[in-house]
Amino acid sequence: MTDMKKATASAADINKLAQIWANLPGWGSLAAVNHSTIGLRFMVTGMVFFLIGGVLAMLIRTQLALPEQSILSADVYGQLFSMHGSVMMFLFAIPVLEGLAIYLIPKMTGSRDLLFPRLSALGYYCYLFGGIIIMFSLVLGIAPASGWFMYTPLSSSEFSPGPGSDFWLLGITFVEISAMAAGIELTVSILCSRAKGMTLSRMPLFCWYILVMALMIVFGFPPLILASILLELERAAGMPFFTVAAGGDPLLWQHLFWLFGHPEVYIIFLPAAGIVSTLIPVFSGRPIVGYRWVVIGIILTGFISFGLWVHHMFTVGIPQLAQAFFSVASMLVAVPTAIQVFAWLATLWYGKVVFRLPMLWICGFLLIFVCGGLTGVMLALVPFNWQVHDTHFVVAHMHYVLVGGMFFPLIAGLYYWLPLVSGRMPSEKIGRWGFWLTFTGFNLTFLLMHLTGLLGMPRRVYTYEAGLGWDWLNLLSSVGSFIMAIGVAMVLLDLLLHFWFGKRASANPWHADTLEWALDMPPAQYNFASLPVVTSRQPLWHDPTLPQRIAAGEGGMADAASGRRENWGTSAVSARVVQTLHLPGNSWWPLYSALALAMVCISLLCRWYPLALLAAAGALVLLLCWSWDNGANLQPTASPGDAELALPLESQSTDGPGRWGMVVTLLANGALFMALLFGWFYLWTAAPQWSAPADGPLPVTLLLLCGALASVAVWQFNRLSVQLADGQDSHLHRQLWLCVLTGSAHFILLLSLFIMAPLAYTSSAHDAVIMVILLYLLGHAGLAVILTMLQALRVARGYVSKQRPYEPQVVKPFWFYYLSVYWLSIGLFFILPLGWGPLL
Amino acid sequence: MLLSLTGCSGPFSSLDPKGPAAAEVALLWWGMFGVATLILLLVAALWFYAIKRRSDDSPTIRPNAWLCWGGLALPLLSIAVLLLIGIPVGQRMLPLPDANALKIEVTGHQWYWQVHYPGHAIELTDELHIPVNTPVYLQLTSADVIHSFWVPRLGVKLDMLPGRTNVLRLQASEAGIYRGQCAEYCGLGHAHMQFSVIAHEQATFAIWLKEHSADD
Amino acid sequence: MSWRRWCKPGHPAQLVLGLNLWGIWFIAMYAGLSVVCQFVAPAPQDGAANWLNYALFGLTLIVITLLLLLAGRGWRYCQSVQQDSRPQRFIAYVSTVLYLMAALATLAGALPVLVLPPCI
Repeated sequence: MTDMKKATASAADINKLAQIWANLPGWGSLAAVNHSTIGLRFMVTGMVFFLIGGVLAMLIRTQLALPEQSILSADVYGQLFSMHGSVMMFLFAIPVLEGLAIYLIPKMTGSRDLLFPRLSALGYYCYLFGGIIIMFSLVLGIAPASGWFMYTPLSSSEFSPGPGSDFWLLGITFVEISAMAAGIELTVSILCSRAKGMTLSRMPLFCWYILVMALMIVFGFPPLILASILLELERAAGMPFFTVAAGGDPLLWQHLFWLFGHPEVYIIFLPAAGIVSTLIPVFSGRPIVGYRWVVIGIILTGFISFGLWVHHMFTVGIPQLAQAFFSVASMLVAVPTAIQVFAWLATLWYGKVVFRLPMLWICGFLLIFVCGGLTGVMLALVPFNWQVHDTHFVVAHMHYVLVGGMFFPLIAGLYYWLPLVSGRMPSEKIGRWGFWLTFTGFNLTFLLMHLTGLLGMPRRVYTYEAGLGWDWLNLLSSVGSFIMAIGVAMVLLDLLLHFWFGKRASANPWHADTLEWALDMPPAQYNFASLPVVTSRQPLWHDPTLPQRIAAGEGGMADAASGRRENWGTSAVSARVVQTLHLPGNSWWPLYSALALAMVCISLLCRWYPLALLAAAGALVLLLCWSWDNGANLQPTASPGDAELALPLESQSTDGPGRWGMVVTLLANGALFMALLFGWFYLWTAAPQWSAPADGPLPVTLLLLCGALASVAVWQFNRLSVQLADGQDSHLHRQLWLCVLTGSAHFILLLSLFIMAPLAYTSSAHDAVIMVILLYLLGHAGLAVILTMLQALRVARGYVSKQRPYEPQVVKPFWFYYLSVYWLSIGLFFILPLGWGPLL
Repeated sequence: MLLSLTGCSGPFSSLDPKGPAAAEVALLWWGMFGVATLILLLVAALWFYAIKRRSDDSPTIRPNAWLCWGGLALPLLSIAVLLLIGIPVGQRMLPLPDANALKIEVTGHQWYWQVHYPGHAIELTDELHIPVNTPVYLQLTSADVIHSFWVPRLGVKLDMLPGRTNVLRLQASEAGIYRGQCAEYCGLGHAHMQFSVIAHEQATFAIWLKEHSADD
Repeated sequence: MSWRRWCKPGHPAQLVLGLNLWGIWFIAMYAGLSVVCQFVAPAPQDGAANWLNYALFGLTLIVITLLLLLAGRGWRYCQSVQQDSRPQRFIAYVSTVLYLMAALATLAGALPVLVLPPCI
């Protein structure tokens, strides 16, 4: 396998590759799934939302420029600052960085595409439609106005009766589908399809950053999704999760929100730091100092950032010892950051630095970010936090960290990768003007704002009295913000103009070390004419002829004989080639599914519940059709794999990216479930007026019987999938239908228990939680049965057999997940309180 | 006087403290500000020198030294010092059981403050009267949404949550009028949800308390 | 499933195991503290000298010992492994340092237990 047959890439092969990988023409480009196309769409859309968010910021600064102004009313101001935060976080920062990762990761890891291309397309459409829906509320003047943090009870139906909060809860949750999709897809793609020989220890640092970011999305977003669902249920159906009188607690919202909200900051920071770690070695002309230590820093950041959420809640009256845990953790996160900063510093120190435009933005990043980091450590100190929390000091800190830590590296990265996208170089002159204006404007705006906060100006006030010492500070901040706006406009103009006026870029213009610079500029849709083999951390420095050899077809999969989009599947740690992956091509399913989901979102907003139900059913059907129309298996009798390397196809194996994707999705699902359990546990122990009935609402014996049925179904499924993997499929079809039967019996029993349960879900938070958990179980049980049924149908059609034992191995983890969740909920919700009841 | 020259004074300025809690925080701030500025300048200077200098063939500093000293020692040491100083400051603000403390109940409403002196039948709106140099334990709660009680010149802030009572320890070291405001966004009236704390000398306060109790 | 393979020092699961232990410790500390304070809070006059703080610190010591043992094991593996299995050695090195970091984070996080009263 190491001795690869040398094949010359004929023009015919290249043409055929281009044909296989091309998007459909005209309107057909809406069916595009290719990562380059989707990545660029993400970034362009994100930039549009950035401009919108920026205009909102300008309006805010105009209103605050002078004391006692009435350009904006308190209501409009509330909408503006809520939308500014939400747009910048959810519609700009995360999607743009996801887009960058979607665009770059396959190119850096030597692949032709991400592994679930249709999922990225779905993500994009959910993002686009969700963003448009949210923007619509702003145009209509009914935008959410309780802050991007949506604290209850201010955001509840009692104090925010209009549809503003619903727009936020439903719209943002819709947009989050895109983040989850990107998180799952990037994780699996980085782990399962890298260039041959690109072991974990040779992976570009950017991929490490994106891997950790993607995993953080997988665990970090579910708490917010859960919280949004609960709050929407409270608003729409009166289920009182956050209402004190019924045994709920508004603090639960804050916990769930910040359980997402703090990791979110690092989800934004890590990819940006990844850009810095990519650029600094290139412009220093030497490998990064302390590669292993940077990896340590990245992983450490990923974990510790989940242990700091309460530092957003230091003033809510939590015991000081508990605050101290979070205070220490918040400060400790400075350690991995310092490791990275000093690794960059040492790289510059030992290298020969070429000071080009991207480096200017990197230097701006360093100054601003270190400053923001230092105020962050200050804010982690509890007594200081008590004084400046919710003042303009925090506004300043947060912009130093987010603009410094995300926006500056992003612009550096855009300038750096621009030649790759367009084949042209940016202008150094306009770019420098843009930088200095942005940098000066930014510091004028936000450096002073620290003092404004210390002088006592709280956040989110739409106006202020004259003569409090805040006047000149606010005026200068507003002036600074306009200077910054001019700078940003100049940068965007520069980026735009260079597509026409930029100088043609030479090959690998920055003398970079990573694989994306081995591509044509702009890259072909298939990226690599032949798949590269990597023997070091800096493939292009180590082997400058690599681009020519890739183009000449000396790598893998150079011939396009199969007529499909193909890529290697590699092992996670040592990147051995283990299988051939057939990737799906252009598809309309993502657009259709996203449209159906948008319909669900809109009809929920308008409270047309029958229509919502219909649209949800439609979305489910579309998604199931999508799963049927599986890229790898359109023809059940396809030829066996790559003849050259005699690699098995994914569908001929028992493990592959699809299974990894299932497991990662279940991890996210598990995070959601754990957040739900946390919510229940939290309400149980901390809600001021929590009350639980002495007897559980459900008969325990029937629940146990129901669980027994589920266990039998899982046992059946496990047995058949193990037998299939061993090459026996004689009873497969019957076994699957038997499993469907047992599963359906379980589902029906659970459903009837649910219908008969006397749940007072509008007057008791306890019953409302039980209701949600039962609905969660029912949904999963139903889905498991449907998936098994589809497997039975696919066996009948010949898609699944002992030659193709893959798909049941993908479904199996879902059944196991469901079973564990079922027993866990039954144990915790129904049996545990019976024993502990008398204690409380 | 010096403060007003440097622009640090003002009715809401936490840098112009008149209570022990606020004073300690202000001191903390100036200390942290100094150290942070030093670190920022140090990192920036190293960074720009690293860019400007020519790389030498036989480096005198080993690569690991950067990571050990800059990446580990510097942050860990700073954190340790900060916590050693900071945690006791927080501890001194705790409302530990104290027989001498004056208890006042404050309830936040959209958008005003309802003040009640238990045992005295005094009800006030947007106004608190307290004696100087006496710890005052404010029992904070809310009747509707979340508010946050904050008198920057006297002490720190604490949220007012529906269904819970949080206790804030506040103390003024000088007689005078101190302004307070809501610090948690609470809807349309948030910007104007302000109040005053009037600190009396202890004898004057006793008289005030007596007069106003008698009124009811 | 080959769970035993997951426990070997060169397995990528080791990269996250240490910090997962730290996470579980963190949750146990916070949840334990909150629950005890809700139902059987020690008297605030005792300051930091009470059974709850002792128990929390005891838990911390156990976790730190465990993390240090795991770090030691990883370190010995790094020393013993030959050059040709580079990704495994890389993983073992990184996870060893991460175990140490997790131990450090555990220790640092628990120090306030020695100073602060628990429930106020």
